[in-house]
Amino acid sequence: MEMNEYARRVEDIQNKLFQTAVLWLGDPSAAEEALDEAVYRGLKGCKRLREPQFFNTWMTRILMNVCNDEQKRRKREQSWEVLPETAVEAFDALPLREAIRRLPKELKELVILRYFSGFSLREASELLEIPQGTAATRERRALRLLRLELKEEEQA
Amino acid sequence: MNRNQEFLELTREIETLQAPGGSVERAMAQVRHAKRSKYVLRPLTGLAAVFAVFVMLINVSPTVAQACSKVPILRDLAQAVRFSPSMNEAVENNYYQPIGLEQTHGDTTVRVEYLIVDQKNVNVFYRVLSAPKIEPEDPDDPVEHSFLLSPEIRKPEGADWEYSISTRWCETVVPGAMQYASVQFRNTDVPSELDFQLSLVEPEEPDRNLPEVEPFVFHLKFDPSDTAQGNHFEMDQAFALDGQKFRLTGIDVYPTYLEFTLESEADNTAWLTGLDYELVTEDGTRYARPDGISAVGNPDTPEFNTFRVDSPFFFLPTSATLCITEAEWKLKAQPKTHVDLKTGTAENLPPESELVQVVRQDGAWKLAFLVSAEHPQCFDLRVMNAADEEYGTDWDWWSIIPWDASDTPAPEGKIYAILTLNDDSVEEIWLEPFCTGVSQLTPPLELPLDLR
Repeated sequence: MEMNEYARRVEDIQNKLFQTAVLWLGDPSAAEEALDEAVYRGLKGCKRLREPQFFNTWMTRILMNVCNDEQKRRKREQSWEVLPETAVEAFDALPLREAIRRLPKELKELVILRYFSGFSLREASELLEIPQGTAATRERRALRLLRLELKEEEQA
Repeated sequence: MNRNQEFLELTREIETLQAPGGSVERAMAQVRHAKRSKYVLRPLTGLAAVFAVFVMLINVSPTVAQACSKVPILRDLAQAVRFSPSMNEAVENNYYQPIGLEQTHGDTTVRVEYLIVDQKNVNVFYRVLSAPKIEPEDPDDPVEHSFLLSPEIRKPEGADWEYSISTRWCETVVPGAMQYASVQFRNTDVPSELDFQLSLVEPEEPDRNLPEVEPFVFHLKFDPSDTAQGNHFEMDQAFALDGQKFRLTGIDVYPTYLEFTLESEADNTAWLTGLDYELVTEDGTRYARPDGISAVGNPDTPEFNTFRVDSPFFFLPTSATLCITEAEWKLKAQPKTHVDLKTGTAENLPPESELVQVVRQDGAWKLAFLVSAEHPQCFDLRVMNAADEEYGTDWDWWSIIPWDASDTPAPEGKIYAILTLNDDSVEEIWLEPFCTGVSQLTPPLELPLDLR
């Protein structure tokens, strides 16, 4: 993919990427840095993207890697943020946005991709490189934990 | 409002968020700058050598500094410090020094832009203007790999400096972006001069032969009499945390952080390994723990005795309250945990922890410990052999055992601490318990502080 086309495609989805990063990191300034980093990494690698129809998935994966890197860095400096899946009362007590942010990583990925980034279950499972059945199981667990009853058409 | 209604409101709120704009332009500028630098900056190497011994004046007027065409505008510094209330206030109160020192080695150019210096800290703000590219092994790998930045200071022979260095954001090289390192001196004040070194090192993965880049060494000279001195307040307050006795002995307030020091009683049965707290000033302003180093201890024990919060230096109150809400402990009598990797068994595990699985995969050992979710770091991150030599390891925390196909979540109140040891020839390891107990303080312990 040429750089100009890359730029055009990123402009089309950058709001969605930014929103994903805000949900992931909980902080717009950190999300802004994550977006900048992801766009830069994508630009450097865009010539190797041979199937442009997977651009959204590819860029989202880069963004998630950047967000995961930042969370790992935070783990070295800050007290722990994630709640275990069994801390039902703790999740109930949190505003939904904070509850999502504090989900265990494998559940948070699913919730954000499926219900805020607009990916289907199949697309999310391919992006995360997990079987679709595993993705479905994790999605059910996450929704149960967040006390959400959502159907396919209710995703953002 | 039920959760589904909350979801609809959250989606509406999130959908209104707009990306700040300019990400693509910045990325393209970085790429173009990296290419241009190879042809424009190399001829300036001679000038860069002159700048390398530039002597700085502390608190140079920004208007004078900005007259220099090589000094970037203040906005970049303000952007870089926005994560830290203390640093933000320092910049807003013109407490920073523009520098503009630049060096080039081969394809790599680094420029030190600003310093924020006080009696105990040197914060160095710099940019990597260009860096060599790392070609990926896998042509389909969408993720670019970059060098990592390793800041250090070169300690002169015989100097007994004790210091810590922390960095902000990812340590990867991001050409053109303002990055920073904070050097925090513990047993001495900031010296009158030091050599600040930045090295580009290979990323952890992939493991290949990459071009070597000579480290960059910037010689920085300070006049300590022009550096803001901290305010020291003697204290003598005895208090107890869950039966363990301490004395608050002093408070030091610097532009970049406030620090309080505790002395523990010799006959305490546990080391203090963590503290949750905040500082509340007389007008109700709350100061939290800063990013980066927030506690310092004696290297001979696991105990921390100096703790930091963001600093009210520029608006120093006459009184404040230190509110302590939680304390973490390590029992003095707690022995090291021994793990026999072949049998998958462990001895002397800290309380509330259990070794659940040990597997061998892809040349590595992977261990799953079931630990308290509220305080999941029950071990020091170091993993050692019988001779106390460290292994390279990686820790992560999951709600499931990642290699276990059943995907069964951890029981209530628990989480899995996953340790990966990248050498499956090792037969046994020792781990140092870090936290063997936690005390929640409800209501918080409040220590009144007189700052007159």
